[in-house]
Amino acid sequence: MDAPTMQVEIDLFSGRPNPVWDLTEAEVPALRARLEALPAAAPATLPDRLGYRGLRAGPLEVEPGVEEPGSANPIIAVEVGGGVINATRRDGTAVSLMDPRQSVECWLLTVAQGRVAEPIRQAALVDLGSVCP
Amino acid sequence: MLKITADVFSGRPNPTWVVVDDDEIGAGLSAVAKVGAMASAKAATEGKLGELRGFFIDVASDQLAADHGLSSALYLPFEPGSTGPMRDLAERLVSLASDESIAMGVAADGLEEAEALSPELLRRFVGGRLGKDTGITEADGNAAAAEEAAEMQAEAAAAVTCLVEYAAYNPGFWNNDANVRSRNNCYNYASNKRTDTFAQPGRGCGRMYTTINCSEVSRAALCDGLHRRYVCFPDSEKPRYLVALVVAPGPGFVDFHWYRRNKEGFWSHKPGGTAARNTDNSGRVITDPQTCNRGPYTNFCGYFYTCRSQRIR
Repeated sequence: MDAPTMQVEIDLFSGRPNPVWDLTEAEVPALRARLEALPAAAPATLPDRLGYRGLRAGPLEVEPGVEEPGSANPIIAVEVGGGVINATRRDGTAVSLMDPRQSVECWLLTVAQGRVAEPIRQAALVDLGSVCP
Repeated sequence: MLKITADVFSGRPNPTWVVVDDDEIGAGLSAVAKVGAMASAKAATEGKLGELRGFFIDVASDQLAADHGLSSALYLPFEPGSTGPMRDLAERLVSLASDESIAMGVAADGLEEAEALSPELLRRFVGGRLGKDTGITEADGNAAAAEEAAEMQAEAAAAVTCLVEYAAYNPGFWNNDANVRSRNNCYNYASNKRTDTFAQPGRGCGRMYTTINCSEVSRAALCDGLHRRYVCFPDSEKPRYLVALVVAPGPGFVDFHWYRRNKEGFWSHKPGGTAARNTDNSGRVITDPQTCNRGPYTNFCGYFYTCRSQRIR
């Protein structure tokens, strides 16, 4: 059976549909590892302005009874933006994580290279300014 | 109710607008009370033709006027080139002129709708006579020409007065259900038509936009059945909402966005799959989509009317 993947969406448009791409099988656990390494934070809301707002990944379809390597209750969906991360675990629990350097946001935008139109990816990076290396 | 009349014309009726929103009335009367020392009960007798001489303020409720220490009818003289509180107050009074308040003003004065200036023309015409921030009045030394220009503007407005509807601001309809919120975009919201398809201009009529710029997205929306502002719809097309189209021209970030005017006098919008709101990117309530903070959507394309028979998909 193929390992499950996650669809990622760059949330920036109002009228047009947002650009999306799929994480590879290897990128899904890499994303989870980055998320699990972050400390918990107080619940917060993502930017909801006109323009670049952040990224959303998931939800990951996990078959009932199938154990996920590394975690019995893995993160299956996440939204990141403006240093805020809100994630949902397999059992439906909502968790907020602290990522002041926006490392997950920058990593996802790096992974997006070659999979979404480059001008759109660059527009998001420009909006983040010097946050991403 | 607060009735405001700009004392500007000589031959034709002065532009009048009626404010009914309690918050707007309260804020307006507080501002009037602050410069109350300048107010009088009589209109100015001097002033050039076509020049803004002042404002008549009529408060419908004696109690409301008394609450602000004002008489129920007063006149605020306006000196050309005024700055400071008087100018701020004049700008505030002019900003209260909306389609709805002008229509009520026309009714209150017993005029024909054709005699009313559109809010846009009224703000441009009266606002232009407030003078520049530097205290210099608008350059126009020819009184006869000023009168003539005013008449031309009034005639232009008279030819294009349309009736439209303003729905009450109801963001909960779009925001409370996550599926409704994520599957309906700015075009759905502005049209006040939920399709759950992230509707695209022109898709309803089978000719979606082929690129994103003002002319092409406008063409697509007109193909769906919208009209440009001042191209009136009959009553059978109610509800006819006043909406505004803007475009983010890029480079990189290229998109379109719509706003809708509400009954309460402000504008609201729904950025993509996010929540509907009545504030701009600076968090301010949107009173004018042309001047609010729109982030990357820097091109203002114009105003349109939606209609009942709009094809939207």
